[in-house]
Amino acid sequence: MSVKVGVGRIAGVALGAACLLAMAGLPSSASTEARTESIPTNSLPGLAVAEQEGTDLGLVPTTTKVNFSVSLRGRDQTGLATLLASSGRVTRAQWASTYGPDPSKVASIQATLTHSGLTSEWQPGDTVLTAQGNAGTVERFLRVAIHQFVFNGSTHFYAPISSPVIPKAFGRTVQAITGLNNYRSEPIATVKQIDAISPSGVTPADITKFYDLTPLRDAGLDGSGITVMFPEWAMPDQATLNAYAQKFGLPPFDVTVHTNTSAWGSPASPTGEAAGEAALDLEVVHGLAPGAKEVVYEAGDPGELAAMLQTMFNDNPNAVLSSSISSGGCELQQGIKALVEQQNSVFQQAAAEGESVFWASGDRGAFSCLSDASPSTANTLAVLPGADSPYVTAVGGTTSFLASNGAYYKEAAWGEPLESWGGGGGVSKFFSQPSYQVAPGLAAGSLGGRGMPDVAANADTVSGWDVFSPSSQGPEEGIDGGTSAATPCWAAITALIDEDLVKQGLKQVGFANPELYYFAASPAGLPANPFHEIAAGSNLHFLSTAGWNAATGLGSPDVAHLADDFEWYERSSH
Amino acid sequence: MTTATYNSYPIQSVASVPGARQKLSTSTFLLYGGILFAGLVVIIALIAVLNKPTTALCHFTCGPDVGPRLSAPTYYENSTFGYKVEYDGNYFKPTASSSGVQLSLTVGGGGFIHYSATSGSDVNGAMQKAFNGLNTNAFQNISEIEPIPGAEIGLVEGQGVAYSASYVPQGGGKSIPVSIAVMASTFNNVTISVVAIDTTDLSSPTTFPLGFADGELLDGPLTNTIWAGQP
Repeated sequence: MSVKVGVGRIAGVALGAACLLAMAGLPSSASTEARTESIPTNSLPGLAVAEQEGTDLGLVPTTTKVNFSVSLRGRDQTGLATLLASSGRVTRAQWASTYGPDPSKVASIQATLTHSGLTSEWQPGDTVLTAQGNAGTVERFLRVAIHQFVFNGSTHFYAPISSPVIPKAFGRTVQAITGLNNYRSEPIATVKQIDAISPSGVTPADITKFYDLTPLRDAGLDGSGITVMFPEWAMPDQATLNAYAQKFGLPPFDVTVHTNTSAWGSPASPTGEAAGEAALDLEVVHGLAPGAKEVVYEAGDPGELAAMLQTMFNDNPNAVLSSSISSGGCELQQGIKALVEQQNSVFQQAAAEGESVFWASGDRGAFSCLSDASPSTANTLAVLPGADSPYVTAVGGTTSFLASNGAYYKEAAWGEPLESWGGGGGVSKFFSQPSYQVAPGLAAGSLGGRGMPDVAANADTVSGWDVFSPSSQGPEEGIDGGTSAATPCWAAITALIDEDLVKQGLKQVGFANPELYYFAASPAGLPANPFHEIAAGSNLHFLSTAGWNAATGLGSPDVAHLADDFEWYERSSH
Repeated sequence: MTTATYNSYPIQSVASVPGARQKLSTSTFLLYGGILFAGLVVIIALIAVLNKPTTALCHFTCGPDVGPRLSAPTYYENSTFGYKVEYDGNYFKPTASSSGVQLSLTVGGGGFIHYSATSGSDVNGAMQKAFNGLNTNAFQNISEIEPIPGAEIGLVEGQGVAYSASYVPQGGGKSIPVSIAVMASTFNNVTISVVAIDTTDLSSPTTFPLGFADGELLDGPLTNTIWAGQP
């Protein structure tokens, strides 16, 4: 994944755009008495530098529309943890009535917002409430000054210059507030590309054979009836997708694109690097599961990514989500924690409702902060936000070695020492090791945090993917790689398995991690080992060794075996 | 084995380098490379005859039985130590020497990677020897950047150090910044050392933390090195 490097940040700058609230002892009255935010943070990578180094043009016009998102605390977290640990699922209505935020308390929050002249949107069960209003109104309500800036002579944005003050009426239900700015940091996307003199990357047919998808495809499975959805920073380019389909003899793409610029920001044009990311995601899935419906949601504001994800899950029950983007470069970025926790709440709900989420673990190996271009943290072990959630399946990268007949031979952890690329992996500083994360060589609680990645797939451009990317000259064929390619690969595989399970009257894969780790332990009766164990190479720090490791997780898939295992799991008494 | 010298870095003056990344044209590479190599032509020619890189037609790979797909698969095999380096003939031009092989990029900034091998498992000694082979007249102001995270050769974990330096063309011209990597790994009582040198990427912020403007391409042969006896 060519992680595009964002603007660096300066430690110590404290501008209030995202707020973690210290909730202990807060009264739950409906009073609008205010209190000052206790942890002033930046919400986005690069925002602090952009504000500090940019030109402050003064207060934003009071009529400017300003968005912010409110993270809401759910109920019965203990019961929810038990449910998820046992691979249990609930319907959306069950979620809303049992685990989602208390509707009466949310109603109180919305009444407060309305009374103050702000609009809000929330559906029962949602863990994110979105709010909008004129800048002047927002400033008065949150007691914050929002200024407009110009950075690098061309980037215009607004952002708060102080910490917001949270009304007491929000009470314990509110975990965090994010947004309040429209700064568009450089997208953290994960495309790596080399100019191919003669395109020679792996094709859909190669990967179908290499990862043993052939039995599923020969059985007529192509992902039909399954939706794979993608959050993206840029619009996909139809001409590029057409070129890919034509090259590999695939049916035309069936893509639906959703935008909501007033809520999620404006996506980038379909010719830049972020558009290359979108093309790669869609092409990899289409190449392996050409019958799957592809749905793209476009974001322009990383601060509103959680709100968009919430909509994606609401709109597409039982879908598979593939994400190769991130709101930030690494967990050590100032202020990223609020965004990460907000997204994690959304992922938790998605897991409980049976949705599969695959998230790229990043392309800077064990040093995800390299993508932040921050010298102070560049060589510090760190993992990528988003993929660190224990409710997503984090996908790492490998270098693939195909046998002369194209079959599987071996893989190694993806690590390129000269260019400092490699599959993201390590231990989260935000989340504890989930109870399901036990595998050969990995004892419960031994990591000190959520370990990632969970699985891996082909990512190194040395063994990269033959794809088309958009350019101003039209579609260009080349070789792409990164965990951006590995992640949609896993999403496509899951779509095929889902279709297989549905045809047999079984429930879809859903949140995959509990089963994946269970399979890795080779329980009695398991039809076959679903993983290629990867015991070579490193991700620039962690060696890929037998059992789970922080370079390649549990390994890459043997898809036919994995499908058999899920079927066995569903049919057995688990 | 003799100590290799790395004084052949193809360079042109900064003023005539197009683009922000100071990449060198192939023609300039050939010009300066030819001048700097002039004294070694006869020897290299003899060695090349005796230790010729092999090109063959095959599917994913030629040297090893398996490997990533390359658009123009070619490999160098060292008859003394049995290791192979597979590379893409569309991107690299080989020059065999008594101690190994130098693969010079024919695209991008004109960087190269030089392989040497020795018996034993003295990684530190191999790295020191490789570093000492740098021509300090050509490469000046050598300064360590940092140990290279994840240094490995042919999937065998090793050690490495990245340096910055100024390349001073021996035929005259302005110096330009270059990045240097010295790495070594050992397997089955053979130690391979590599020296990679490339134009430094000066864009800011850079996506190349160690500075190698063509690190993506130079990393390829490192991954595709096969040790004698390696499974």
